[in-house]
Amino acid sequence: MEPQKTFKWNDAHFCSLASQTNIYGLQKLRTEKDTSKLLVSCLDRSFLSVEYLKIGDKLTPITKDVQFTYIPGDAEIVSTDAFERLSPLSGLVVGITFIKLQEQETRPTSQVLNIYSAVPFSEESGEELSAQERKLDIVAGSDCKVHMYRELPAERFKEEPCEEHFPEFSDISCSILQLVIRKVNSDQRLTALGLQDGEVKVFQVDCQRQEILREWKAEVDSPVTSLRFFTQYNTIPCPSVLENGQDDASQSSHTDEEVAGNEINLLMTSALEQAVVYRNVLSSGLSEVLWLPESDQYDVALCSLAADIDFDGQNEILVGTYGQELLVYKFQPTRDKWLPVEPPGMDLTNAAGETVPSDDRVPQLGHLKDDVTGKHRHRSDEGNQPEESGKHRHKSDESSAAEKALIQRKVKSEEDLSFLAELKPDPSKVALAERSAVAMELRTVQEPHYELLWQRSFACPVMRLDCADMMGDGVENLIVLTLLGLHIMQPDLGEVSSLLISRLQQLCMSESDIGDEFHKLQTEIE
Amino acid sequence: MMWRNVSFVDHIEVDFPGNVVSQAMDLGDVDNDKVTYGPYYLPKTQTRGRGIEENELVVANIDGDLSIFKGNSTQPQKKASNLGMITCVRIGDICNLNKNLLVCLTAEGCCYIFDVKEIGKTTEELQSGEDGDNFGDGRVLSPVYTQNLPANCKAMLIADTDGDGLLEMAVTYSDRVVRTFRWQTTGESDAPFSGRLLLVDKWQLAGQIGAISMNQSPDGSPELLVSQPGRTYVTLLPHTSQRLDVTPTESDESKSPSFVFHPLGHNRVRNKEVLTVIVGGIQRGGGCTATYHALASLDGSMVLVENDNILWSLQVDHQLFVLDKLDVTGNGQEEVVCCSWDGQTYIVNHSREVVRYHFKENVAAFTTGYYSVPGKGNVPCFVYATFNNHIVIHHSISLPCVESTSLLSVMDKQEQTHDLLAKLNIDSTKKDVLRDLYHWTLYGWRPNADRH
Repeated sequence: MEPQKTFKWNDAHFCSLASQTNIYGLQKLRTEKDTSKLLVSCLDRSFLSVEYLKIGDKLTPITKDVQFTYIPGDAEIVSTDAFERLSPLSGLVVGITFIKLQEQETRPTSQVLNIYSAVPFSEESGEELSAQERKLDIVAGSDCKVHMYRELPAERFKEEPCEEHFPEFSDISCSILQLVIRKVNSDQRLTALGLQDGEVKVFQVDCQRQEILREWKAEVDSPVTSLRFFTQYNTIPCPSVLENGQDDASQSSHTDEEVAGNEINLLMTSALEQAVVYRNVLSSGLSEVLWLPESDQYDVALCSLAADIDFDGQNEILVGTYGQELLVYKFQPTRDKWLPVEPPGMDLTNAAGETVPSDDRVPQLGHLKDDVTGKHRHRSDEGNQPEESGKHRHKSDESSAAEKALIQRKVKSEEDLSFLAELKPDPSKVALAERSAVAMELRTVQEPHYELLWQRSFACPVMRLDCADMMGDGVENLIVLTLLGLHIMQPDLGEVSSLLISRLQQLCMSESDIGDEFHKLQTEIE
Repeated sequence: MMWRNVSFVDHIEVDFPGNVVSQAMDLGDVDNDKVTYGPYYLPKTQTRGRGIEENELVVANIDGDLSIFKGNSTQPQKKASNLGMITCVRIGDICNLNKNLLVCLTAEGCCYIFDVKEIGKTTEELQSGEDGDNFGDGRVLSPVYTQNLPANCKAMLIADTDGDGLLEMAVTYSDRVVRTFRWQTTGESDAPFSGRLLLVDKWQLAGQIGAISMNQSPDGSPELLVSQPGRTYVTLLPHTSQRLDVTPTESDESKSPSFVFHPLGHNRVRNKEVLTVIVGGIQRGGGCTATYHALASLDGSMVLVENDNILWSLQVDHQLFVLDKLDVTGNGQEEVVCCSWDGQTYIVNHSREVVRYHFKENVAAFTTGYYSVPGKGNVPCFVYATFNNHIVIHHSISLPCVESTSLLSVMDKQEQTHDLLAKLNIDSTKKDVLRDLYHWTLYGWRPNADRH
């Protein structure tokens, strides 16, 4: 086992922007050489493309201004999206939405998609639609609708009613801020919508028949700022050069394991509340909720990402905030907890009359089943009000003051006796804490949760996060778009290379072992 | 320009009003809380950067205020005022007592020497706390020694300029003169700081002097360099050395000119009168004692020099006014750091690879060095004095490398890689294959894979 390690991430490159950008301002493109290229849009109609090129034998970051015609001088860019055409056509299709303060007629062009419908918010290229072997441009507008544009021959686009292909967009009450689509298998997809009024809708859709199979809803009190589908593990196909030497059985066992433990999760950030991971959406809907602690402490959480940034095969969760912080969370299946050793008959209740979770209830934390339309309330205030009917508050926030005191005690470490004085001078709580302090023990309980691994400050609010192999070296760079700059970040390559070498050594060892065993087996047969 | 850029975030911003000139800012262990003594011309990594010291920032302005900042406090820990128009501030063992003192020169010609007591130890300091207006007596600095020297000094350094093992103070003046002074104890009284600064040497130069710096020549002797207009410089040779061709005389003026002019391809320089700055003693790493020196001019030209040979030159479109050196990557080689009036900061390594940082304000003064940050000790940092009454200390500026580097090239430099790839029957010249292999090994790896 390799010890868990955090890698130091540094700026590989930084581009400052001419004017401010927004949360829809970054688009990732692929180049011919299988590296990535970034397209950044700014409010004042300037577009930047950033990529790495080899000049001589030196790797050089290249920043270019990209000109898009037919964008009027007083327009403000809202969002950019791009996708590659499927064969037989080739080339990029870039969609740019902008607002213009005065009404003006549409000027359609071949490469630029100009949308003038009120205030368009977000675009998502609907790529993986097995029914249509063609890519579409989907635009969500502030008119509470989703517009779909389909490419016709001769480089023209036409709006088509989207209900036909996307029945999930038919009944929307409010502006869509976020729209993500993920293919589940060849004939099903998951669509998640994040609305301005804080509603999250997830649909499981049959792509063949265009039918909604199931749908789930959840609600928070502030606009949804980002949505991401992700899995806990990444599936990377073993490179062909290794397959010959590798034991086939071990590879296939990996895939089995992945199928078992790799459910699709949904990550959501909202403006005012803590970021949330809805685990295992396909089987649990939006009921299996994990909060990301402290993600509401740095102003509005604007963007999120699930990416493996410590090379352990598991995705970490990254949240970028307006408070200029990047927060990185790691999934932990268990938690070490100070729990009272419960003497029989001891009454552990707090002012609100909620019972301290006893040992047998603890494993259920985080698994609390809400009904599908339940409204999750997760304010961090300790307003001990009794539960309102129909509105489910999350378990971890319901946890009684007593439990909080216990956790606080754990944080402050055992020898710190001053913790009693620091608590609110609530005699009942103090008495409770004193009582519970008498008999407590540290136990590892099954309690899946996210832990803040590290955080990092930036010079500006963090608007968008992504990851991409910019340099063509197999390492995923972290792309951080802030209000006035684009950071391409890189892990400390000294650390990465030593990890890589130790793994390659293990590969060599296992290969030679396999070879030895093969020889042994052969000699035995002979 | 296709250069790599970075963005530095972690900083300490301290309040300091008034105009600051670059020479009136220095980083060092001014209060001798944990001193490891070493001569100035040794690299900062060896003398001032190493572990246990706790460096402070000393700043002075042209209104006569001098302040010492320590740790992450935004207010000065010690200060003095009404000193005159302060142009130079340096921390060094001027009196050769194995103890850092603070030397402060004013344009009027006054030289103040301060002996700073350990900061943050006396009770009255702790009591007076952060309140900037209500300074306790323990926090007001008063000089232990004052002397009138020639007026109009521009730059100053404290170093062993003539190789005699004692430190001198070398001062350049706006009338194109360089003087060196040495502390001489009078021996008449037992009181500390009974002595005076005596003139050791004097040089009259032809052009305006931009900066003064020490360098280590290939034969191991220290040399004193001053920059001259048009990206040129002069090596100042001591008149009183034991050279056979130079006979020491009593009068300064009668001394034979004793310096070497280095034109450095002066004919090709666009602007022959442009202000030039110099920094010497740039560590080459790998145990080499001789050092490089670098010059930069206000028209944006930068060169790295060894023995009159230009190793590289660089032309930028910003007005470069301060040049310094710092080991940003921590590999023992000091990078050249150059700052322009508009905040563009260039970090250039010995093979001419550049990384830039843009400080988003106009810069009045800039210096690099080591500053003690709570919890981290002495860390390399950039210090920017702005025109808006504050000074920014960027203390998280270490970079793994200057150039843009990919994993492929890092792996390629490791010996083991080629053996391992050969064992795995992988052609190490195919970049695509390597990329896929590395990608899978980093991201598709299962720690508990049944590999055996």
